[in-house]
Amino acid sequence: MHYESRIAQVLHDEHLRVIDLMNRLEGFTTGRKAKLAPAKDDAAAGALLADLKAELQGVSGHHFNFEEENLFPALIAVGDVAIPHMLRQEHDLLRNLSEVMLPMVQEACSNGFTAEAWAAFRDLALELVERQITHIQKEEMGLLPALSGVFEEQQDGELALLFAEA
Amino acid sequence: MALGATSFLGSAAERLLPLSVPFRFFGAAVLFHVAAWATLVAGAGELATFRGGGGAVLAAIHLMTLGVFVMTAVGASLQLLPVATLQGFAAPARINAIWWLLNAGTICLAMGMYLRWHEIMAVGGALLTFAIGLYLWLLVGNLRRGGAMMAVVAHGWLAAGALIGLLVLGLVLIINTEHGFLANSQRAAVSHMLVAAYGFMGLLAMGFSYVLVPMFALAPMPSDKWALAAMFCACTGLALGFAGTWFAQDAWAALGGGIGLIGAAIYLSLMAIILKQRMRRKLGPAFDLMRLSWALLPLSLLAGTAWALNLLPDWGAVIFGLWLFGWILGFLLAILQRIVPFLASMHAAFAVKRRPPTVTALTARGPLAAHLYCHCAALVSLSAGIIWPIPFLVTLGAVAGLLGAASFAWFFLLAVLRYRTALRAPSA
Repeated sequence: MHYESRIAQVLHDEHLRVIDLMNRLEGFTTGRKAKLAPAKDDAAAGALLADLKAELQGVSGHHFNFEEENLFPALIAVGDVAIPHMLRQEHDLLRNLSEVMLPMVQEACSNGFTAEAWAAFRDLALELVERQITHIQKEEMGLLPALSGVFEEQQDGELALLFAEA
Repeated sequence: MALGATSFLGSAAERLLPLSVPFRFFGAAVLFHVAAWATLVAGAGELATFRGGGGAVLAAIHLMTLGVFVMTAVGASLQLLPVATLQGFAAPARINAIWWLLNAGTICLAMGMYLRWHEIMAVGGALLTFAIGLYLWLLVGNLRRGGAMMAVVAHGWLAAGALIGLLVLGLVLIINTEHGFLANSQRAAVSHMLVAAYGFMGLLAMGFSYVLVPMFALAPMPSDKWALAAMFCACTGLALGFAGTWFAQDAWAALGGGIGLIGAAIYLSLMAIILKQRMRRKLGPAFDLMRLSWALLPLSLLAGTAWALNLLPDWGAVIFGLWLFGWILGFLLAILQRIVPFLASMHAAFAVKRRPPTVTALTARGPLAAHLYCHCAALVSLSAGIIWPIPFLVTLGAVAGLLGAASFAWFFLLAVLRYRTALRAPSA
């Protein structure tokens, strides 16, 4: 998939990374193997939890803040009020979910999962996967294509740089 | 990504109809789905030898085509077209009238067909003429004002033309049952079916596939060029198939089937490319049903072509119709099971401040799995029962279809109840 707008392309690449993580998380928390908590020395589980921790600690937050501060005002200025409103609501929901999940993931990284912690984590992880995927669906189909008509070429490039530098 | 994708959801919020509007049409379609299979159970003994004429089979066919296909198509297009054309409908009174007229017309027509009661059929036909006329008024008005997604809008225009054609032919057939002026009413009935299934429903299904499948699979939309090429082949094939059937030129009809197959091959290749390029790994059980329905599209065209060339025994006509309806029914139910919870979840997000329900929370997987098994069992059992022919298998297939329809209705009811519960939850 290729976008004319550079900032749209940067955000799309970021979506691909998040979708890959969500696909891995979904695979980790569903199916027969997921009925029992992973062993503490499970290397694949450890790598996934480390990536998830980084995501919850702020990578998504950076993406959300960037959109809210730089893109939504521009969309509102051209008269598209509802989509920024809906996406902002979803950002708040995902931030809230990240806050709830982060201590569980940190604890799991240090000491592994108990049976109860694994059951709670699995439910929240699947909710995170679903909310992230539907959020990205809306951004991919609604937000990113709309950006090509909103910014001038120079401003578009500056935004892409700003996102990468932050 | 094709430019057509722009603003599909970007402007959806402004053009999102109240949930009660599309859900009223979807709810009626779900009930007619049950009624169609129940009527087929009653007429299962006549199915294998059905060649037209009144009775339970004809009533079941029209409960399915008008009650399920057209009802779903109207509800879905009222929700999706404003997004594709960037033009709202803003006509609640007319939409209400369409819903009432469509329901009353379908019930009267099916009852008239079941009882072979011409006057009731005529009343049904008149009510449906008003319903479809009003819908066409809205549809054409909307298509004229907008055009953000060129391929979808082009499919919409041609589907509108086919809708006029099927309505006129349907009325002619109703009048013919009493006055018998058509030289060959069986050929006229098949022509009516071709325009209704491949024309109106088929073109709408193809057009909306280019929007909905990429959205659910998280994939780029296909290029307009290839989507329009598939549409051109489908329309050319349909025109030849229609002319060949009407004028008793079976070679034309077979050629139409062949060109239709090329169109289907392009369309299915585009769908395969979308799925290959998708970012979402797990697509869910709806896509199992959709893949089955896609397989039935070329099968129906092959069966139709072989039937036109007299390569099939007596059962050719019924198998052709079964696989043709199987394609459209499977596609519509697959789309319905994705958009019902999706729309409910979007509306809940506007109404519920804290943790609105997810699409998964609004989707009852058990009833959908039961529906999928029953739907497959119905298609296999009906096909086998018609080909051999074994009347018991036909009845078994119709019963499996009825159980599947009841499961699907259970899924729909649970989605509505879960949505209402979410709105009433204290955290809202």
